[in-house]
Amino acid sequence: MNWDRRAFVKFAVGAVVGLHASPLIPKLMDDSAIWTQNWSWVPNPEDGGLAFANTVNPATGTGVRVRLIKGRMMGERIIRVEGNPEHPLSQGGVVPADASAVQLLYNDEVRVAAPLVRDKKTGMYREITWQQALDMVGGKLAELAKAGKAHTVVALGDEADSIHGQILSRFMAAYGSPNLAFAPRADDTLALAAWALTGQTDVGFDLMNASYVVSFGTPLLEGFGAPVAVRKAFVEWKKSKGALVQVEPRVSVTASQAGTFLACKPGTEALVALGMAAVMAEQGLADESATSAYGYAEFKAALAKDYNPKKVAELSGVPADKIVAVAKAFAKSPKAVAVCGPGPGGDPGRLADFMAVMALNGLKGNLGKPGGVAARKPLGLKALGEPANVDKPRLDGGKKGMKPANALALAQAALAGQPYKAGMVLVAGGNPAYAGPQAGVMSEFLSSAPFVVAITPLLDETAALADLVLPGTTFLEGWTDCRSSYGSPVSSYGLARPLVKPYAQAKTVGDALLALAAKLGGAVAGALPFASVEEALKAQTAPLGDLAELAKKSYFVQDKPAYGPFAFKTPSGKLEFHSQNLAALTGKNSDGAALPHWEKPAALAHGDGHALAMAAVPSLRSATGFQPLTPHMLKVLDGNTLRHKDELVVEINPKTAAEMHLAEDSMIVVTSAVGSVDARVHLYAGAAPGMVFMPTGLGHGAVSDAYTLGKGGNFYRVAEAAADSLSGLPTWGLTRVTVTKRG
Amino acid sequence: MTTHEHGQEKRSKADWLLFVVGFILASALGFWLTPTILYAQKAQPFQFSHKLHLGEVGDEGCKACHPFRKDGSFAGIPGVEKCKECHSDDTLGDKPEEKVFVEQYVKKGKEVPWLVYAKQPSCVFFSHAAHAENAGIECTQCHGDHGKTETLRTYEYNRLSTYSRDIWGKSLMGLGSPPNRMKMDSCADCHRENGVRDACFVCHK
Amino acid sequence: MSANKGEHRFGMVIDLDKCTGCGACSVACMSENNIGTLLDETDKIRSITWLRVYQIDNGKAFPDTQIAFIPRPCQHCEGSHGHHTPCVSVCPATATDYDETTGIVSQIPTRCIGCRYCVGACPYHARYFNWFDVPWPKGAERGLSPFVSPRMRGVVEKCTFCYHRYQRAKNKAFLEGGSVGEKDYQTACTEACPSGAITFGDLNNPKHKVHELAKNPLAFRLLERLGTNTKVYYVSQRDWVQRKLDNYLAGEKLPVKAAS
Repeated sequence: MNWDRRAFVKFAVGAVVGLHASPLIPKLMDDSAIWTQNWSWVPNPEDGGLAFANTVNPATGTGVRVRLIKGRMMGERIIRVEGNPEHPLSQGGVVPADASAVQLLYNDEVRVAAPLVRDKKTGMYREITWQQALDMVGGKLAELAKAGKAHTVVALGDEADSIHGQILSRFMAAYGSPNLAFAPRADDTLALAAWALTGQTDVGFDLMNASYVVSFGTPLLEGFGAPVAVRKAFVEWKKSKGALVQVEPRVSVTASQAGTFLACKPGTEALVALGMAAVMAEQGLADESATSAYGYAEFKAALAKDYNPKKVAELSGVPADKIVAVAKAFAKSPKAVAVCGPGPGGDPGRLADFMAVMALNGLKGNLGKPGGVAARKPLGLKALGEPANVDKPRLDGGKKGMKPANALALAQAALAGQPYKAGMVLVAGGNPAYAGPQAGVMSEFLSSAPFVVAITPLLDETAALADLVLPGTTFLEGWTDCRSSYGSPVSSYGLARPLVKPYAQAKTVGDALLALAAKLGGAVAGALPFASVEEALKAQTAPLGDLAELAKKSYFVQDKPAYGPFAFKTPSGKLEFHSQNLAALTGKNSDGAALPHWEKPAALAHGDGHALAMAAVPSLRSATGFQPLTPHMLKVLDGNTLRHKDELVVEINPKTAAEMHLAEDSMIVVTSAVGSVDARVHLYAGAAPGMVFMPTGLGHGAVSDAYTLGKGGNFYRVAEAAADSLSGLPTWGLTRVTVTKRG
Repeated sequence: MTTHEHGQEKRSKADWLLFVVGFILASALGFWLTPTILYAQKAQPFQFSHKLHLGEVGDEGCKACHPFRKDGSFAGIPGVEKCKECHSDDTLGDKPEEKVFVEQYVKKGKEVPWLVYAKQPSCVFFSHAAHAENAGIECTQCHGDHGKTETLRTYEYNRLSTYSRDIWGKSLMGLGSPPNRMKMDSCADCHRENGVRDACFVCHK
Repeated sequence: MSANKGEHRFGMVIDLDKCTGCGACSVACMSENNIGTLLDETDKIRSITWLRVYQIDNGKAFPDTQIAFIPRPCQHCEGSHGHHTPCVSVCPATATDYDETTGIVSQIPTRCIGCRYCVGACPYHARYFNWFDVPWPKGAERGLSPFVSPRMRGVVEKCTFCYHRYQRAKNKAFLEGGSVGEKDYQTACTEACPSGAITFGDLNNPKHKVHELAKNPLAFRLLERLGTNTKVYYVSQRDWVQRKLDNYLAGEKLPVKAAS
């Protein structure tokens, strides 16, 4: 045997075959294949026992159910928010903001973990303890109070009725500042409109039982009240062949689903309502209860003079015969209701417009009737108590009473230093630097204020301008509550309890304020004798039973609207077309100022030939107001909105665009008196000529998450908010803009 | 020429012996090398006697600590909460392991990071209910006589795939049991033998 | 319509006249199935939405314009001859198959080799390729569901009719005895829809609502004439909507539907 080449080859081949006969190679190949399926960075969610818990999303009013997974090592975590099938109003349905709520809970990149102090020079944040943070704010507040400047502290909240809003109100009153404003809501406008005509303030529309619904520019199917409850009513109409008439300038989802679409010129929705009222009055179609109402004759005369169908047709662009036909159908339908509501983009609406629509309901005589306007039964909650009266002038000159404070007016007055400058700003909920009203002014106000504290769960635009950021909670990790949704005919109460431990050091707004009150002591601590929000809620909900039981159920809903004779609480004791309440509030009693009337929107007042009217695109897929846009919501924005990387896309009617030499994808700048934004054109045949429709919820800057950062432009930077002539609330339904080409 | 032919003949036989030697050496190397390079070992947090515990729980057997949840899913390894049904803050016996458990986990409210021998990757949906309840297969058929062991064997895992060695099976050739091999083909084989569906979505998620 | 020999034929009936395009179904699907968000979601070729809501319009000028929304999950094609499902028939890796007993087209991402042949074969754009790993934000893993395996880059994924829910429902049935009822197995989108536009169930089972609904003379399927024999039915009273969802010649009449 020679060890030569041939022998070696045999040995080597034997070795290779032998190696292959061993499991090494097949095993390595198999394992390599598996290795490519198990990248360490692909998450591997831990399995565990599944549990469900009911709660409510205060942002949408939806009754939701949460899926919790209790894993052995990771502990209990929320994997999903879905509908609560037992909730009588939402019946298992959800909207995108509900279904993606977990994304705001579990995102370390945007959550505020601990109190942060922002260095004014570098803009960098530094973590401090809660104790240090409370010392800091408490010290400032004590200092201002000592200097007799307690009234210069401005507080901005999100929901006045929530437990946190009530704690904030009591805190501010006890501390001694009248300058408190909440995010403007259509609920306030509706309450004022109802109060003007009926003396009642808590009313809703019985959509579910109505057979004929006329909606005046309200985004019924795109974010009206509790959106899920409205949708359930919509399905009922479909089943019972109910009719829906939509009056607005854009082919929205609601307009498209409506049997009749009355395309009107921008801002003339309520004018059409008055046109219908004129037809009813003239043709004797008004209900008996209306003809005997206070000021009916005066109203009838005004209708005949200013709002006859011919005149209304001229101004609104809706043909007179259509107005007459809808008015007759409305009057003859057994259960008809006229609906007013929040405008697109969360606009709280104009009081005169709401009064016109409520007057139409008055003429129909549907108050307190099934399918009409219902006065909601009081919830029977024990409110924390009326806050003390502060005997100091409010920044915006307003008085305490029915007139809610206007955040924008407060900011503008403080910026001008008239009557005085702000000593400190406390933002307890909401994101005014992004959502305004009028984001530009609010941002300027926050940047120029000497000391800004923001309690927020997310590092948002407001946090970016705050000197001190306190970590807030989402509804999934802290106690919170919500009242009846806008327009709902039944009163309801929603209660959210902590389902998982709060993120890092987060506290609810109320708990943060209670801790601060304890720090300040004295009158403030005396006004808030609660150790926690949970205790305050216990006191508030005592009439509804045990808090723990109620929290487990998560809601209380009145079973059906309160039908029956409507209790008028007006000076005359009956329905008032000539509103004495309003006359007392505004001080104007003559020239029809106290009658339901139509005012030309300020945005349309000056007739510049190049200008267009801008309005928001209502959509449940995008975020409205200060609500954050979750990554999943960003994914479902419609294809046109997301067509260009990072660019905002606005809708313009093809004819209008052609007149302006604009085409699909044209690069433009939309400029209003208060700001401008770069955009691209999308030709949408359903857009009214002469208008620009802009999506909301985009254009987040600052330290928002990587998905929304820099995507699109911010509607609230361009929208001009004007104080309503009657309610004093800021409204931003329409803005006069110019569109110019760029690039 | 003849010598040359003769030499060739003679040499070829010996050469084939070399082939065999190469074959044996290399495959032996392969058998020895494979587990050495592929598998790493980890010790369990502390020792645990299944035998002792199984004796304590009575007729309920494995399900006493490894029950089904109400929704039909299998709870797997119990958490400390379950253990606390018997083990309070004081030790029950005099075993050092129990002391470790009570001191370091029960009192501190910490979970035990047990290493799971039969853990499948996240793409696998294995229904214990279908096998143990519906088909009536004994736990031991797949997991072996785990319940009779007094100590926990060393946990071995594949360095490449990160799977527990039990998935491939203790035997490198995929032979021998129990515990049974838990690769996809073993599942599929058994399904086929028993006339059960073996479509993708039966066992994958 | 060829009848499936299998026991079940899970399918869906979507009432387009009820759909208001709110996107709740799509978002519910994402949270149910661990679908992530890419840094640039404007890129619709790479964006992953198992159930996508398309918007269509009737092409008329203002104010006669009308819009409608088409929620599009995987259509779970049965094919017309011998289960010739477009994607299944082209997959070289058997990473997708047609489940005979449920009628569901499966997708096993870990088996997928990423050739994307199925993506091209699908007439409904219902299949999505993971061009990137999902950039989960830090902490997001706490919100992920253990019931659906998160995917990696380089594989295809699609709607599974929430098959994992069927698996779990069967678990419960095994433990309690009995079978999986209509309520026990519902997809996430069906539950989420605030208008109740989506109905899901076994098309073969006369007790399930979809059985009757699919027989509605107004029910039709997407690109029905391709012969894909899908299990997602759409219902609309609107003529123009029906026309938009299949290839009709100008002036061609809609097929006469059998009276129910």
